[in-house]
Amino acid sequence: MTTETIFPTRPSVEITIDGKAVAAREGEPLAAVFLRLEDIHTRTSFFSSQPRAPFCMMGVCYECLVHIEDIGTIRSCQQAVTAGMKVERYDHPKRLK
Amino acid sequence: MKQEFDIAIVGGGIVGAAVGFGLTKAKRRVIIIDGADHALRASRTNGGLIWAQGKGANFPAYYRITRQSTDLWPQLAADLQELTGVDMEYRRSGGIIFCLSEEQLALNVTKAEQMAAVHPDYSYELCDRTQFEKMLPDIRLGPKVCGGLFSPMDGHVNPLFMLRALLAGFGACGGKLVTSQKVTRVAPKEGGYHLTAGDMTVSAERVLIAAGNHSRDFAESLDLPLKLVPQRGQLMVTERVAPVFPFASNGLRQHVTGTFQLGVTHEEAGDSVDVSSAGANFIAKRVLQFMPDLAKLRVVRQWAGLRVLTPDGVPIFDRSRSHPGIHFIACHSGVTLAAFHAGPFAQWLAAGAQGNPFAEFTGGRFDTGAAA
Repeated sequence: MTTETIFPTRPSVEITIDGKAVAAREGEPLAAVFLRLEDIHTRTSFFSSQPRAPFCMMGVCYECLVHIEDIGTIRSCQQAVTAGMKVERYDHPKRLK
Repeated sequence: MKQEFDIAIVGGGIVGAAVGFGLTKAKRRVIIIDGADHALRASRTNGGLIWAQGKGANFPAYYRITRQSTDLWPQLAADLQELTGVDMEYRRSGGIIFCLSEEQLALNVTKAEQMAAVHPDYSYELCDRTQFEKMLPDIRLGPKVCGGLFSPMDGHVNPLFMLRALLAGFGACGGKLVTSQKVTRVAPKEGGYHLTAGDMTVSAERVLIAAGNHSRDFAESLDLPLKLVPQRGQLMVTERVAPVFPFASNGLRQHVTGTFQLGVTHEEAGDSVDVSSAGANFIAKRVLQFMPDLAKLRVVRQWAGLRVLTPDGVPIFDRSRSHPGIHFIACHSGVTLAAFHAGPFAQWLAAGAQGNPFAEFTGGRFDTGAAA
């Protein structure tokens, strides 16, 4: 039996996903937040138009790409949650120009 | 004595797989023995260009097989898609050479004019900046781009899907593929050859060494007139963006799925396939001169490989000096030449390798006369 908490629970914070307020734990992987939502999709493949969701959780598959204000387009499984983070699903491809 | 296989191919990269596919289509019994994952694999480090512009400027026969291959490519892609279901993302889009100064443009035009004078089917257009802007409405060109060349001869393909399709097509036509086995010995025996790989022994009437840079391992023991000067090339791919660049260009290509593939370095680095920040810097600076907005994209991967390069950059098609049934190919343009390898070359080999239609490509051209 483990008597000590190895990873103490950190404070609950609020972030926004596509403008809607969502509760999360500070420091948890952002992709984990998506997996608790009704709509777990993180991006839409513009090549196949299919919705995609976090899959490998280790930075390899790139299915969990999202856009975060002031950070850019990143893999949400590699990003820790911070309070007030403004996240958007990556549903429309970035344009070059 | 009847051998197990008509032809054994050492190396399952794009060269070995293309010839193997062509041989099985010609109803030959073929085995491909492919090496380990950590082998030097140029097939997994290339830009995917199918490129004829400027090829063989000093070697007309090289241009001719290149052009033959680019013309056979649409059929190869269609055949493989029908047979295997793999879409290689092949596009005969045409290729662009961007020029950053009038001098550079003049040099390229002179080269193109010289090639067109020798080869009536050499096709290119001179483009000014305005024409490129019309061709690329969703791309902001770098301020120094003054124009360049466009050729409808060129195109591109996803090289990884291509390798997968070739090997799947080879299997579908009855070819046998063995992976993760390094061939350590090829020895003549009973009217054919025995190949040893691990605890496996295979007998074949003929052998084709298509092991890329690892073909060097056989140069001495099998007396192959083979000379290679491997060159490291680093590549990067970016995150996916909306498709805006359908054309092929040297070291700059957008996959149909949106990623930009950027290249490429030419380095003397021994057998190292490491990447470097200097390499990344060189690649980024180069492509940003053409398309500065690429700077907004994240790079998701950087990797490197060793080009299978002969001293003059032209392929070698030849055979062992001591064992005429052992052939080898050493070639840098395995993607471009795939349709040639799977077509005319494989057909020649399947028919018994009579005569020497590829005499201009023998390795003897590098002999200094002093030592063979």
